Amino acid sequence: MKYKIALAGNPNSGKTTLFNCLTGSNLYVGNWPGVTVEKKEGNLRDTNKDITLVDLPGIYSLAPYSMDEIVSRNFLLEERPDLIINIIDASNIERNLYLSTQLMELNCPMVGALNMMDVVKKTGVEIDVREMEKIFGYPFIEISAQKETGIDELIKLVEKTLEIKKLKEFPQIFPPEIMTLFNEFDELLQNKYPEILAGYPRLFRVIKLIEKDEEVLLKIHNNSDLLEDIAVVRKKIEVLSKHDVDSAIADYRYRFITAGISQATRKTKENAIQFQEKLDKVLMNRYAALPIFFLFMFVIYYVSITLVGDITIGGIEWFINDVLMVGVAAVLGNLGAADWIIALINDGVIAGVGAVLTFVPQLVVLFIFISILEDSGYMARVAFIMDRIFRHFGLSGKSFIPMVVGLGCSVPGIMATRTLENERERKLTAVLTPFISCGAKMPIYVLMASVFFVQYQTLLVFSLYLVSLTVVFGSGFVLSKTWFKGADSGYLLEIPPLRLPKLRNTATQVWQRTKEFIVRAGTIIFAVSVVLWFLQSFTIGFQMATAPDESILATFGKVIAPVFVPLGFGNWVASVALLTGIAAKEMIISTMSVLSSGQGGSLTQSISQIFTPVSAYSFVIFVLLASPCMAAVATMKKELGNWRDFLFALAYQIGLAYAVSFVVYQVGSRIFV
Amino acid sequence: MFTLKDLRPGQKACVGSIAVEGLMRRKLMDMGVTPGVEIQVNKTAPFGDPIEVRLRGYSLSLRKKDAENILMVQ
Repeated sequence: MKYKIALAGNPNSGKTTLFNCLTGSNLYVGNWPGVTVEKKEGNLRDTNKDITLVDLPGIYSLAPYSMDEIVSRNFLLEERPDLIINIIDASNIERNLYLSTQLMELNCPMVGALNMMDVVKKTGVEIDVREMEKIFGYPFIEISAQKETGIDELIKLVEKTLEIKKLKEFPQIFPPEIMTLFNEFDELLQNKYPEILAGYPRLFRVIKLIEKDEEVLLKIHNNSDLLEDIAVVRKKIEVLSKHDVDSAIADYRYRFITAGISQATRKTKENAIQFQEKLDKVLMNRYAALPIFFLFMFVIYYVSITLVGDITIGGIEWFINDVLMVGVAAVLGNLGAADWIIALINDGVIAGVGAVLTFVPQLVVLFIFISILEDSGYMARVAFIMDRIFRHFGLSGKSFIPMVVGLGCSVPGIMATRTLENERERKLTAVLTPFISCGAKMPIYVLMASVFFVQYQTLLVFSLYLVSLTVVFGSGFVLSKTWFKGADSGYLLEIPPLRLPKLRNTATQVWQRTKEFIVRAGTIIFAVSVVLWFLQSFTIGFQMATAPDESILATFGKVIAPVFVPLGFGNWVASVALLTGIAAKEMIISTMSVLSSGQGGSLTQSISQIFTPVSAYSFVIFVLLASPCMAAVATMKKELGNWRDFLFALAYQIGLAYAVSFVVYQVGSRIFV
Repeated sequence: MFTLKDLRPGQKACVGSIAVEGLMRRKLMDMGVTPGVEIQVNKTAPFGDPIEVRLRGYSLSLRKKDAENILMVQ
């Protein structure tokens, strides 16, 4: 028998780490049907049953405020998993169990994984799991996903629970008088409106209707009789609880939890101030916070671009040009291969793919840093620090997180905007995130810097990040008052404790991101390199081109080149490179590399012929700001949802890139003649 | 009558009622800001806003404009 089980829990509860522990490495990433949210699935390891584990987005409640919550809730309601693993950060047990009280209403078998027990035990707290089971009505197990303890027991518990045929009833969270009201209302629903939300779990349906949950209200289509009946129950609850309905329901849940954990947990010793708290005080210090943040950013880019680049690039280039290409030519020559085949492999494939792979070491280091920032809890702190500033630009501190993720790749960055509840803010952030330079654009800056700005490499790259920040803020300010006008969504953010990132998690993330980069080099870039080589080796009459500027590609490049003359790079090589860059930003370098090796020069030589320092700077600015690669553009379309916003975003990004490059070149070329 | 905004870092008090409107109101409650819960103010962000508070064993940050609509009792 096939089972499908879901992993649900709060953000920061260690869900991803547990997911990796439970599935090993056999995970794959797909899209949710209908809604476009990344869904992670994997097969549960060490079990003889066929169990698929679905990783739901981290959520605080089943209320439909953010897309993440809607997605999780729809999955739980519509796909009805065979079991829910409810992961609970035991060091923050009270707030984490709030979601559990809502999951309990879904009438689905459940297993509670009390995570971070190693931390909890250190602070001198003991949790009685048997007592927990008695109170909450489902079995719990102590684990530490970080230390990988309790995982085997959790898998056994899941297997055991799946075998139980008859579901035990979950305990009542609400006091008897409120339950009576709920039951009366349920009977009324069944008699009067049997067709309303028929497939939903009983208690869930009752409570969501009483709460006037937005998604549920959409489904009852303004049934005025029902709305009146709801108003009657709401009134009764308000009288009974002496609070309004919202606070009453939340309050009852929390009361049930507080009573439960005071019974099931025991504090054995007072904990001393931990190292993390001291570190937190320094990182968040009123005066030091901002300088520390910029220092981190500078160090990250200095180490990954300058330090690592200096060590690796020369060696890899030497290997590709002097070992690989020479070797291929010799071997194929001996085998009697035609010259054009050798040229195709060397000047097309190896030059194109190789130019991209040169930058892998630098990207790996960059990805390591980003992953550490994500896992350590520092990101939430930066959002906290930045909120005051972001607010003036129509954003909130939370918009900062997608942007930092966007430093690695715009695609997950744009997808991370889902955690923003407000639609206007989410769209605005999705449009602005591509302005943050992704990892794939970095090689272009490094290359240009190594040709024109040798002594100022780090400074040049850093200046580009400043340009991108300026554009983000400036655009945020303007767009939030024009295209994306609307109400401020507010800001409410959990600040998780600082944690030492887990090496294995960092490694997994870095590996996945790097793999994606290499796979693209092997597929898209490989294919485009071959096509490019043909286009630049043949003339329009399909004759072998004798001079590079006779080729099909040159002809085409020359048609569009005039557009870029005012920006300083009206050269057909640059124009073609920008076009191929639409497929993937790494293609820009590959293209220039393929084209220059076709012309018999090295990449750096031909770049120094095509560009001047000023036009090179103008070019990188254009690359930085103009619309991102196809993958990111497609993601942006999905997140924006409609064509109107999407076309506007594209036009805005391209138009702005053109304008800024225009100014840079026109002003720059007059200053530095 | 005083509000959460009036508390200085290190001070604590209990929530009396929540006069925040709309979506933020429900979100606050989901995050555990319900009548009767004890909240301690931890710190203010470097630029003076938002603030970080501690409740139910974890840290939450919110803007002053919402904090001033959370009425507190001793």
